Amino acid sequence: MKALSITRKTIREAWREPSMLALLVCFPALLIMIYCISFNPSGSGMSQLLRLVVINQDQGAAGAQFTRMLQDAQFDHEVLFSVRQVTARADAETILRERKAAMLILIPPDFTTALSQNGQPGLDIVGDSTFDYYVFATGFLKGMIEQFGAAYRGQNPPPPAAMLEFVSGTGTLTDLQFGIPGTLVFGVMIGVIYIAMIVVREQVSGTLQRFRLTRATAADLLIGIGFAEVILAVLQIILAFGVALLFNFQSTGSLILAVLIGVLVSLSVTGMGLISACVSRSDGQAAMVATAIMIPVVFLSNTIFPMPPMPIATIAGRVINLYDFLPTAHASEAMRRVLIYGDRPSAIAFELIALTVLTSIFLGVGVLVFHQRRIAL
Amino acid sequence: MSELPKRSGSTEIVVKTEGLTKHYGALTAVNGLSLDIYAGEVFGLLGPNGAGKTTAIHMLCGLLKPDAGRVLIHNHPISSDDTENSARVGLCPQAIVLWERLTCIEQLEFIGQMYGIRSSEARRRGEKLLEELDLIEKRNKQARTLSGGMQRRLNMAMALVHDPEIIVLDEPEAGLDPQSRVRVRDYIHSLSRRKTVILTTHNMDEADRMADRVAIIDHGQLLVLDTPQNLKRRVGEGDVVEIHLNGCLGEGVDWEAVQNKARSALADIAPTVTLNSTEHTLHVHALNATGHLPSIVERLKIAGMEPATLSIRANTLEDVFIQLTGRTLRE
Repeated sequence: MKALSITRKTIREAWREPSMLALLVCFPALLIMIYCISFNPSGSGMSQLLRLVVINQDQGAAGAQFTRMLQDAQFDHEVLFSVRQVTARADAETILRERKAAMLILIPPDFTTALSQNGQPGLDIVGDSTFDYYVFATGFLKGMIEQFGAAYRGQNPPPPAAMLEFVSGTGTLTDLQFGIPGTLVFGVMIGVIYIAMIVVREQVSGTLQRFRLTRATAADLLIGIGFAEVILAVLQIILAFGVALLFNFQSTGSLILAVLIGVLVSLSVTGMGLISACVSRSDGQAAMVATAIMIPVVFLSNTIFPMPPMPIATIAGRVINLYDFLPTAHASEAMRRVLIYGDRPSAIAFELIALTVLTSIFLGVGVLVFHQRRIAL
Repeated sequence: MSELPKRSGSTEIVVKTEGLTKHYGALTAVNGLSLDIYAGEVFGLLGPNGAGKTTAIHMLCGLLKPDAGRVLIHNHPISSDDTENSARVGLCPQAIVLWERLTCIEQLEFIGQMYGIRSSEARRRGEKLLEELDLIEKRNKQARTLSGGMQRRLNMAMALVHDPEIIVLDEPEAGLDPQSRVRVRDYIHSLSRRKTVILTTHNMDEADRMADRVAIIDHGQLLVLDTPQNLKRRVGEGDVVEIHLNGCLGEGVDWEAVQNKARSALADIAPTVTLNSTEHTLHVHALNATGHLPSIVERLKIAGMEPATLSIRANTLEDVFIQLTGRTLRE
């Protein structure tokens, strides 16, 4: 079968370019590593998100007790806050501006006195109201301050106004946990550049003419190269997943299902690579065109950054956003739900079907464009 | 009417082109080319660079679609999806077209598989071809590590691994060192009779030595088609005296008048006198040119043409081309 011969040839050629192969296989793992190093502070769980800066100016003992309460606070068996004490307000504000903390809690000099006299702690809370974690931390803090005041006065704490409850599996979710599945998809997408370059190389070197002489079809070429890309994607995902585990990524989902999603992404990658190759005349141009295709496909699809809703239609009660036409949107969503929430295939059926359909479209367009521009007479 | 090929003597037409035409914008690369190519012959397409030879053979192999006309192989028109006819043709392109990171044997095995040959059979044929082209010691070397001459020979093997009936060689001797040239020439000779070989060249010597019949084309048009011997005979029997006139004629010369003057001066000695105005050279075709040489020089002097240098050589296909176009093949 011609396609399998092309796969074998593509793998052989890649094997004999070890630096390129190593870069390709390791790229998602490297991305994960960089991502983990960037988003993996000393704390764990919720405390990674809810970082507090405390300036304790209290001349009594209550300020220290309150600070300790913040440090010891737990939610869902995890430390709730990461507390950093500073002395100068200017330093604290710098930390806030850099968003390295969700809020500043200023404990005034008369904190103990005020508590003893009227039970009002009189704390100053400073933060950036546009920073999600400030708002989030405020929700926890309000009740805790009331509880502390009541306890200090020897009274029963007031009943909570509401019970906080998180969706199963998300209570201790961090940026790190949440971002890894999308980063995996991004890593596989780098294959667009590789595919575009190897196809253009066939054109530039004239070997594509040899394919044409044998009457090989665009589909033969696509299946052959696509299968090599699938093998590459499987290696990429397994390696990257292993690296993520080393960085304390906690996954309850099926790695096999994650690999299957990666395989579908790699087929989209093949289609996009072929399309890129069709409009390029050199390796360098192919790399640029492929990057120009890959970047919006990755960054406008919720893969790395959350996108605002861009509704264009509602089908069967489901809102269809503009980015839902990108396979990466469904791939990252499916990957996230599998790896983080442990969803089964039935639970992500919509994402899998959408991903399969969009992948087929990209492959189909790739074959069509390649056939018309490079194969047909 | 051209003769049948000497070596094969076959009357079976393997390849037929009918009014083959190809335009690139305003340029007509091939213009109404009609050829009959017989089984077992070595057929040469001779012409200067840009004459349309490569375009013609690309249409012949199904790599290019003609704007008009058609190509028939064994009386069947070729098409881009005709795998049966495509397997009958093997093209060795002018440029070296190899997968640089595959070894010699891998290249042959792969291209064989692409033609639908089983892997083991493709390897066996590949080994045989490497043996025949003196590349067997390099069988496991990647193409990028081979010398230019070796790469060219491997390039040729790639056209043969599927055992095609028709082999199209585009400038097969281009860029070859003398040793490889001899080997390739011998190999092409060994293919003749067993295969139909179509070769393009701008090298008259290559065409003269290898081809049973030669079609000379220029500006995409067929000028003449015959055996090399017959073509040379058209120029005239005997030898060619090349007389360089540079330095003896002033600025703004009317070269046609010079040619006419030379023709009338030598009319009873040389039946054909042509003038290459670019090289300022007269080509005088004459029987017993050596014996007539003093007389030729004397008569030209009387006509006001002082020869700067002169040389005598046998007729070549280049003389045919000059006679037909008034230009050399290099122009």
